[in-house]
Amino acid sequence: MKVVIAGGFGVGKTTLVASISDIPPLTTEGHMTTVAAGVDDRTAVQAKTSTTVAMDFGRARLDGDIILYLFGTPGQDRFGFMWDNLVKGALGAIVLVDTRRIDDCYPAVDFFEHRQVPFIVGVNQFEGQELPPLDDVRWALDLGPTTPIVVVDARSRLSALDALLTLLMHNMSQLEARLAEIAPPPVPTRSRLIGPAPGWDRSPTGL
Amino acid sequence: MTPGGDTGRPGQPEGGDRQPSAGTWADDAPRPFLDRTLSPPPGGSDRPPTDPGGVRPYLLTGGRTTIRPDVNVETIVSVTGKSPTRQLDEEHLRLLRLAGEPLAVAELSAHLGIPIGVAMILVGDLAEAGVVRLNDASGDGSGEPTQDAALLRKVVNGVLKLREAESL
Repeated sequence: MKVVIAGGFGVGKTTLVASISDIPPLTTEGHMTTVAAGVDDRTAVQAKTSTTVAMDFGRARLDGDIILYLFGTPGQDRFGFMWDNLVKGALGAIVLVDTRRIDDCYPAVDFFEHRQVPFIVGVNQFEGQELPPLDDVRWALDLGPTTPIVVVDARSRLSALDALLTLLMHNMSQLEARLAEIAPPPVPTRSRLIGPAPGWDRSPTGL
Repeated sequence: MTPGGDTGRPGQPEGGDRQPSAGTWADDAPRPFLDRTLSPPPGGSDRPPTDPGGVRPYLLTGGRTTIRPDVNVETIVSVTGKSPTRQLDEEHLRLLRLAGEPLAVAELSAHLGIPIGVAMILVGDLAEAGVVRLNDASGDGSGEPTQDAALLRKVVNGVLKLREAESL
C-alpha cells in the first residue's frame, strides 16, 4: 500500500510524511534522468547541470499486517518518469499546497487528473498564517467539484491522519461509483440467464 | 502516455534547448562529463551527500535503464538464501547484505545512497539471479488497490485505529 504526497519545494511534504511514518523519513535520490542519460554527450552535460530531486520515504504499520508506504515527492516536470512508477498501484495522492505559492502544485494536480489517480488537496496551515477561503483555493486550482480539499497541519499526526482518511474515503466513493457503473442493480431473471455482467468476477464479494 | 503532454519522458532530455553554461565545464572536451573526477565544477558542492563518489548512475547499472515490471519503489525485497545464478557486482552484494531484513526498494536505495531508479534495476538483477524474492507490498498482492474495495476497507480501518490511538 502506498500513498504519494506531492507538492512544491518547502511546502511541508517531509513534515507530513514524518507525522504519519513510524520511522524517521528517509531520503532517496529520485532523479531518474541521470540514468537514462549518458547515451550522448549533450544529455550527459545536461544531467550534470540539472538539480537532483530528493524523494522522502516513510512507512506506517497498520492493523492486519498492512504496511503503508509514504512517498513525498516534489511536483517537478522533469520528475515525470518516476511519477509513473510512483502512482502505479498507489492508493492515491495528497497534494500539499502552500497558499502563498499556490502555482507550485499545478504540475502535481495536472498529473493526477490526467492519470486519473484519486487525489485530494491539503492546504498546509502554517503557523500564524491566515488562509484564504477554501473555495478560492479550489477556484485557483481549477479543481473539479468532487475533489476534496482540506486544511491540514502537517506537523500534527492527528491532522495528517485525517487528511489520509479523507483521501481513502474519496477513493472509496470513487470505487463505489465505478462499481455501480459496471454492475447496475441486477434484474433478477434476465441477468441470471445471461450470466454475470463483465467485471463482476472482480467484485470482492464474489457475486 | 505522458501526463500533460509536456513532462519529461524516460530517455529523453527534458528542456532539450538548454545549454550548459560556458566555462563551468571543459566544453571543448569530447566527453566533458568524464572530467568530473579530475576537476569538480564550482557548483559541485550542491550534490547530495548520498551521491556515491561521483560515479554516474548509469555506470552502476552497466548502462541499462530498463526496470522489470515487477519491481516498484515499494516492492519488498527479501533474500532467498540460494546461490546466485549469475555473477554479481559490488553494488549487488551491498544490496544483498542490506536485504537480510526484508526492506522496500526505496529503503534500500536510501540506506545505500543510490538513486531509486538504479536500486530498482539492481534489485531486478538480484531477482533474476534467484537470490532475492520480490513481494508485492500491496497487502495480499491482488493488484490495483484502487479496484479492491475489501482491501481499501482494511486500510481505512487500519488508519482509523491509528487515529483513535492518537486522539486518546
